[in-house]
Amino acid sequence: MSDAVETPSRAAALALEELLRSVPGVVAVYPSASLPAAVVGRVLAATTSLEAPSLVSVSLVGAATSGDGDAVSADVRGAAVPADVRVAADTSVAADAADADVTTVTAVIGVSDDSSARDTARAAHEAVRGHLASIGALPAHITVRVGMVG
Amino acid sequence: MTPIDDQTPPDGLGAAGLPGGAGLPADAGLPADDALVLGGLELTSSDLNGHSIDELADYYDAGLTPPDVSIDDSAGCQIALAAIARLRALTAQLAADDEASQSGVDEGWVSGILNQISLQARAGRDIPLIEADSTTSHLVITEGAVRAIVRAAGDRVPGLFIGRCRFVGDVTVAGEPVVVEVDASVLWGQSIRQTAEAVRQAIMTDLARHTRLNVVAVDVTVHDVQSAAPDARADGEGSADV
Repeated sequence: MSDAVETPSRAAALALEELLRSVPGVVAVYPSASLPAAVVGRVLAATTSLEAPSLVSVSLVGAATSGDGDAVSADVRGAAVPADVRVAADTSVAADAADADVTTVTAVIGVSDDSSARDTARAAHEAVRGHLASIGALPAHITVRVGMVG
Repeated sequence: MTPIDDQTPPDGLGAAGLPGGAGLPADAGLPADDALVLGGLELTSSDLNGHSIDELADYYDAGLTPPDVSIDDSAGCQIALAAIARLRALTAQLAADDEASQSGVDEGWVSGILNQISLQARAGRDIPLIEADSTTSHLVITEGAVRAIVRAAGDRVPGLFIGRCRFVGDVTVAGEPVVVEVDASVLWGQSIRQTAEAVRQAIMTDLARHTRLNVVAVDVTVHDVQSAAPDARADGEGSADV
């Protein structure tokens, strides 16, 4: 599944992490992959030339639509992208057959203690939605999870 | 990787001096790998003047001292010593390469992994941050993060330490009544009632600011009274519920 080439999903993920880190109150972006996947990925990244696993999970549908109108779904879990923001399919959501063709984004953020976690999560959500709209990747399922405060 | 104490071959030896094209026989005590190619010559025990490879290796590692004429004057021993020198140099290079490859590793990766494990292990349930989840938006805070909020609130109250923290009620459903139960220790000399009330207010305020939990009560149970002076400590195991 590793993919070193630039894909629409990876580009979106890179942009999304930048975006999330720029949201006031967001102090960290954590891996959204499962614990085993995150740990194994980081171990491999530290001990081999493989890239670190994704932090933000994105299954991008629609933004990379081909000329004949077929949606292109990019699943690039563990893709070779720079260290902090990664792209991966959110299979927990994508597994829903009814939603299979909907872009999914899952982000786990840390919020500073002097910010409201609720407001920060909302702002992060709006930022993600705005970015997806700008690249034509709506509708989308967006999950913002606050994993740490302080 | 075997540590290499001395990577410099003794004078008069070295890879450049090796004959090329042959290897030591198996009974010479060294594996027939590339490091031991001695070119064209097959050394037998008699070629080594009665010495074993282990003895020659020890001699090499000792810096060819004290001088042993039976080795120094033996062509076969000199070839073997040259092979040993090459093997040592190769091993040292492997060690250096291994060290160099490790130096590129982010030293914080282990702690990063442990942090990640800790974070996810303590995550607990997802607590909704909006009244009703839409089909396209899911904003949540983990139970672990909310515990951190509670502890941070406790840290702001002088003379009190938060221990266990527990949420009673279905925190996964927005609007459901939730009771926050915390165990605490207070410093000797503090008013337990006032301190508990202060932390209760702090927790209520912070949870209201960060979450949409419908907190109907914060129960603070003081299990212990701590003192900076050991002889002034009084264990309050009788628990003062507030």
